[in-house]
Amino acid sequence: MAISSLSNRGSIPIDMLLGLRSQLDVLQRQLGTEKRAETHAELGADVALSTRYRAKLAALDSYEASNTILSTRLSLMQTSLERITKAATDTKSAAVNSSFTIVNGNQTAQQITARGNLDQMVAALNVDIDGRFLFSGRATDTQPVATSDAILNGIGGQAGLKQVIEERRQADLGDGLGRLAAPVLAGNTVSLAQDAGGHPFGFKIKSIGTTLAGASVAGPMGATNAVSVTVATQPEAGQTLSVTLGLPDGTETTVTLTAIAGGTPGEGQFQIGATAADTAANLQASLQTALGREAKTSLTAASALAAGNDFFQVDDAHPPMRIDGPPFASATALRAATATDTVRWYGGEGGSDAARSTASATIDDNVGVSYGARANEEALTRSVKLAAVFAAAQFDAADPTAADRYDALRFRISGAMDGAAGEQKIAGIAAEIAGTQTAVKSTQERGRVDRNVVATLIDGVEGISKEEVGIKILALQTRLQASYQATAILARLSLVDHI
Amino acid sequence: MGLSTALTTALTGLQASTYGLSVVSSNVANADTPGYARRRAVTEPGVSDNGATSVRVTEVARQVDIFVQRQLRVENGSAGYATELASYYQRLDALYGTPGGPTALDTMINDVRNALQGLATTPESPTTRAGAINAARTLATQLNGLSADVQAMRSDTEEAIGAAVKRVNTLLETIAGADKQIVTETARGSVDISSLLDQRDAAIDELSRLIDVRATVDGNGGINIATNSGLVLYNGRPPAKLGFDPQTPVTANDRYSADPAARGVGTIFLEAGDGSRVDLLAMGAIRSGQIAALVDMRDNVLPGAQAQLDDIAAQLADSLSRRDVAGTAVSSGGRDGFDIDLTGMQPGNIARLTYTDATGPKTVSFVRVDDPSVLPLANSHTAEAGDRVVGIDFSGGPASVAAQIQAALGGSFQVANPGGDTIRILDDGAANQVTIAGLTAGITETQLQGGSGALPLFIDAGRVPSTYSRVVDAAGDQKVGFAARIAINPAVTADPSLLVAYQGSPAVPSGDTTRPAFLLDRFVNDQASFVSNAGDGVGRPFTGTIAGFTRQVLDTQANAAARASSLKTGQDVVVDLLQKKSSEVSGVNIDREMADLLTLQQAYSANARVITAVKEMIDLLLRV
Repeated sequence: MAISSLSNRGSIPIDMLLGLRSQLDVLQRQLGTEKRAETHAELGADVALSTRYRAKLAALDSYEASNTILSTRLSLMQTSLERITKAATDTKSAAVNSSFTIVNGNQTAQQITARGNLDQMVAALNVDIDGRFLFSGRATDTQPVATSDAILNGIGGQAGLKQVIEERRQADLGDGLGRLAAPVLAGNTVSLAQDAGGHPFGFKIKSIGTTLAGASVAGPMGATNAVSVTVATQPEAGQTLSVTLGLPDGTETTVTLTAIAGGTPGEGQFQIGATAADTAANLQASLQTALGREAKTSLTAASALAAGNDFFQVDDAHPPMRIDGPPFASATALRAATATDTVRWYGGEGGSDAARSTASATIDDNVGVSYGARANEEALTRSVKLAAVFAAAQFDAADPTAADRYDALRFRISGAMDGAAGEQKIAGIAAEIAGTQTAVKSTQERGRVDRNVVATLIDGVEGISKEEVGIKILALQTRLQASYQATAILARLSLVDHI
Repeated sequence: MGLSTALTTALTGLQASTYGLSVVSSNVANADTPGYARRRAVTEPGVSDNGATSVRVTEVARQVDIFVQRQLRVENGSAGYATELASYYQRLDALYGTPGGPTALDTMINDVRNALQGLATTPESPTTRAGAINAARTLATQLNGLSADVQAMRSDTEEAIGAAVKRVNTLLETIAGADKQIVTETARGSVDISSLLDQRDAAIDELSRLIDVRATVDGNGGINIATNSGLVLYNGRPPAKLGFDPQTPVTANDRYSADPAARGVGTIFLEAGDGSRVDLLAMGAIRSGQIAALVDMRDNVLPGAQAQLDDIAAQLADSLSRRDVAGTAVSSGGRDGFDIDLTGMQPGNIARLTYTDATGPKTVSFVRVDDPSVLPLANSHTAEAGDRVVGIDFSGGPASVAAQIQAALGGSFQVANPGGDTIRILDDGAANQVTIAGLTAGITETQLQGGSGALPLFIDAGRVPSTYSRVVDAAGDQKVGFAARIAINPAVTADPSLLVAYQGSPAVPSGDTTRPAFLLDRFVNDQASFVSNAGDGVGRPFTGTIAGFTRQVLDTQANAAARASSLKTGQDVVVDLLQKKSSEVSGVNIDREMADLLTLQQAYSANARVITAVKEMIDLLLRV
């Protein structure tokens, strides 16, 4: 503001001195704060640049923060997947290279290994970071998988896998012939049928075939898939009758009986009798023995696998399945388990959408990634299920069928572990996560470069050059000192002093 | 001619010198007195009866350059305006915080974005949920604070105007008092009326800073004062009396209006002798000076800043709580158009129809209104340029809504209510004069768990119901002053899981990103048009994101403040220059006064010497 006095003493340039002084103050402040301006107005036309750069910087910082969290989660997921892969491979090779040697009363060393691997898988799936579980789908605060002990043995009143397997075994075996009615002999004809149609348990007769000379086969027909063989003439030794049976795990087995001329018929043999009718009678007896044996071996193994499917294949819409019983041996249906009677091995969120879509993040402007995972995904469920089923089985060394049953089980375990063509593989999940990892990593790297650039730009707009300010202060100081001096001299010059 | 003549002349010389000395002493004494103009004793030769030449002081002349003075007064008005404006702008600028500092508005917007990004990355964590709520609350609180500050500044201007008007009256009284005496003394032929002139000039100078005035001297030495707009403040008769009716405290809803019933702030009026009042602001009588700056601040600049804050607050609430509903294409009877389900539409929500007719693309915005007294709405209700705004009274149900839309659109359209809250708008079919391009609606979600990402995170704490949907009713436009009332929804503060749980049943898993991702996306990407872009200059609305608009606000305000400051600096230079020029003429220079003093001293001793000589000569004569 101008000085309102009309006095000519205005020859003292007070305004100018004050101006210089305030410039010095501003420069001093700039040197202290290393900022050019204290308010937006002081930045003037650069406000737009400054605020835009700052918004960019804030965006980069928030991306960096979330990408750092993201990359930790992704690495942890990869580590878990590696652990699970290793445990699965280990279980598979144990199942492949195994002989039936019971080591702790009812299990082989390889089964004990499988139990250890199951522990590994459960631990890997239950991994959490800062309380966030990575394999729970959207329910990130829920532990996805029950403990391996609870899975196998149940907990509280809830049944575990072992009980589910046992009940299913009872349901599949029925009276011991795998829910088949005992073969019936009528004249020269031996007939075989399932005990009833429509239930999912036991053997399912698929076909019957024979090379017996003069014999004719019929079926399967009707709801019980009834088949029959009529021995019209005497067969020759070496000729066979085979019945192919479907098993609860979806596999098939064929019971083949070979005709022998003399001696005691062994496993899979029947004796040619005196007449065709006698032969048919022998055939019926041998068939019953063979079916009983098959039920104890492959059917029981397959039943365990089927029970594993019933127990493990769960999501929000599908609870574990139990046998509708007791009695189990004559059960005809499965029932949905309730939360109180059966352990739910997967406690996370299990929607019907893709598991990857359950967690998503924006890693850059308009770049989103999905990286969710559920422990009940196909590949993960398979590994856990097979290891658990293998670890759950128990054998009696004295049981003559035990070794065959063990083999039937371990071949199923090892065969299924890698998954069939077209099924999800753990490696597939890992590849998807790795893809996201790569995207996050490259975004992070680019973001860091961008951040440096933007920070430099902000400094250019808002900051000062210390050297420049230092020189300005020096120059200003000199001017101010000179002005003070000159003003002082001028003020002393007055005619008053000289009259 | 005789000795006595010489004696008399010398005596007049002595008197003149003494008078001159008294003027010099007065100059020296008042060297630093503001408003004091240097005087000079004017002498002229006098002829006495006997033909002798004497000297006499005819007047004491004030050294004033009236042209500079007049110009100075003009510039004073502008300087008063610029100074006042700059000082308020400086305060306003300070409200927005230091660039990049924690209280800067853009920093807070960036903080909310960061917090929402954290929430979207880790939705299940209580920490990130609390972080998002805190960042949002801080922003809302800051908007409340800024709004309060802006309105406090308006209250300040209100008080300052009152004080300035009082001062104007005092100054006019002073001027009138001095002027009357000047006229009287001039008529009487007084030698020295300088102090009266000083007094009058000082008062006029001060007045000219408050109001832009013109002062003209008439033949009698009296002065006439009028504003540049022609309003006479003083012309020799008793001066005009200005009045002001302050209305404090001022709130965002209080605006100036020429209509006294609608006016929420004070106005300056001229009080006529008969007690009637003339609103000077309505007349535009005050164009410059400090008072004009204060009025400008109170009625334009600060409400502009408030509108910007309101826009930010409104977009904050709207973007996070708005469900966008798209119409579904439908054909009926050869006519094409859209069905739109307006279920849940809140008062103030907008359904937008876009179509093309012979003259080009058109947009019509249908605004739900529950209070028909505010109808019709102006096209400027929405920020979008070029759209036609039609307020629709929803109180009569969907069929009545369809009928109102039909009436607004005219015969080229066919509007129906096929059922429920659905509205169907069809074009003219075969005539093909109009083609409907789209029909959309933005519906404010009022439910905390409405099943979509939209969440009423921000509410209007000053209204019941507290939903913000820009209601327009008899109480006014909900957006006005919303920045002062915006608050975090207390239900969300009480239960932060609502940031994730977008529906009650089936329960939403705690790591679900649907709602956090929606909130983040809306906050970062939602585009809106903002009408209150005060600095644009051409009246185009700013269209962009909330962060973009905030940056624009800071930019606009900073530039306005910088402009005000440089205007002031420029005006100061002009006034300084004129003042220097004026003080070269009117100022007291001690050196010059001392020189005058020496001259007068010498003249005095010379005259005294003459008297001594005359005395000696008379003595000589008497001794003869």
